[in-house]
Amino acid sequence: MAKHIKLIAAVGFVAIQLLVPLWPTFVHPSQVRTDFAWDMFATRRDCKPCHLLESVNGKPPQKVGWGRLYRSTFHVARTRNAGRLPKAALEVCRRHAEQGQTAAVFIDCKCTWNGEPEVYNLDAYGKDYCSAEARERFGD
Amino acid sequence: MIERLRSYFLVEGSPLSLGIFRVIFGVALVIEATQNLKRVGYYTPSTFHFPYFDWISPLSESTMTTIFTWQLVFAVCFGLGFLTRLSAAGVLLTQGYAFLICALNFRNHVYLELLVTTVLLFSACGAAVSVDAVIGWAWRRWRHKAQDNPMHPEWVPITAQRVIGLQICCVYLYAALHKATPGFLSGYPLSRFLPRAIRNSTVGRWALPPDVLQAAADAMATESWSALAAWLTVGAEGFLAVGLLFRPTRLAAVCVGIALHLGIGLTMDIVTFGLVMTAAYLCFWTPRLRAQGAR
Repeated sequence: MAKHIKLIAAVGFVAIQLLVPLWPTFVHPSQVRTDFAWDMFATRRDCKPCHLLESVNGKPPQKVGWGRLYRSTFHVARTRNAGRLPKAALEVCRRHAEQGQTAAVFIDCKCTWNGEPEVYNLDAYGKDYCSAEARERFGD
Repeated sequence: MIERLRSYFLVEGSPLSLGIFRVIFGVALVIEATQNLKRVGYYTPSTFHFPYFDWISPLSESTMTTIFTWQLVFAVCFGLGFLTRLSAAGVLLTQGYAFLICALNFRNHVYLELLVTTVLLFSACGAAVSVDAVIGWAWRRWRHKAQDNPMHPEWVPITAQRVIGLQICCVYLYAALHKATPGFLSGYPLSRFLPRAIRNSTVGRWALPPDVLQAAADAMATESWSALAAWLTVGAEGFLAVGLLFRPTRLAAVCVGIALHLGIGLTMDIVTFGLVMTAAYLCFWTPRLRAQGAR
């Protein structure tokens, strides 16, 4: 019996390890970083521009310094995907709301992959992320 | 099919391969714990996180420092083979928690270390080249006055060794498959990040003269050289995925793997990953084998 369990565990572990790295095949790289895929350095993304813009208390929009959210450029680079940028924008909104400020936050991020000519707009929403609609759509 | 799986996984062999691997793997874990202690801020509420699970939350700087200090203690104990299973569980818990705090901190070598530690937790990796083995030997000698008292058992189950070997092949397989695209093979990705990585490589600067390093960086900035590097990388990784599995090609695969990781270490400062991957080649070293339970 113990041998059967051991065999099932070993085969199951290997089978899972063979299946998990397949998942990026089904998702466009603009959606999320390909964690758990063993795709080390397979993709190069170039994003110009890529930042959040905020308009506080009706003032003209300004870039949000990434240093406000992060302490490492590594984290900034890994935020640059269509799945994570809205969450970062919502966090900026949340912090403004905490300080009692009225703010509008937008994403301006366009990237290319592996030097290919196609440009991907990582802001699929295109509107203010501080709105109730954005919170409902992108909030947890 | 079942019989073939049984004869591959349910075998016994010498505990030495896994014991030596555990020691080297322990060194990688110690390096990781030390680096975590330098980057405590990445795991605290002072930075914005994307947790893998909502119930995992970043902890205060002092708590994370304590966690990483314990991780270091567990990693040292694990490498030495002292309370091996307990220290493996300790590494898994401390590094596992830190890993789940934020998806932005995902790094392939940490993920690999967690997978390997999970497998080793259920293995006999502490049966040889370990403090546990020495203590057991001394205990048997003192308590039972045992004359025929080897330092480590001759035969232990090596299922874990098989699993780790296949895990390593899986890493190479997907590394090659994900790179086997026109975009990567054009050399563009490597031409963009390799020149800077080479110039900034601490290992490279330590091991190579500055003009050699500069020449390598300049060469990699051109897409023809970086395309060649891309093709060689995919070829090497693809060969390793298969070559390590079969005895006739294993030695060649080991040489290719060491060259590949040495190159990566010199040019990109990626040392821990290479250390774990190349050390895991030991898992393919099975000087003797027999079916589990055979006498």
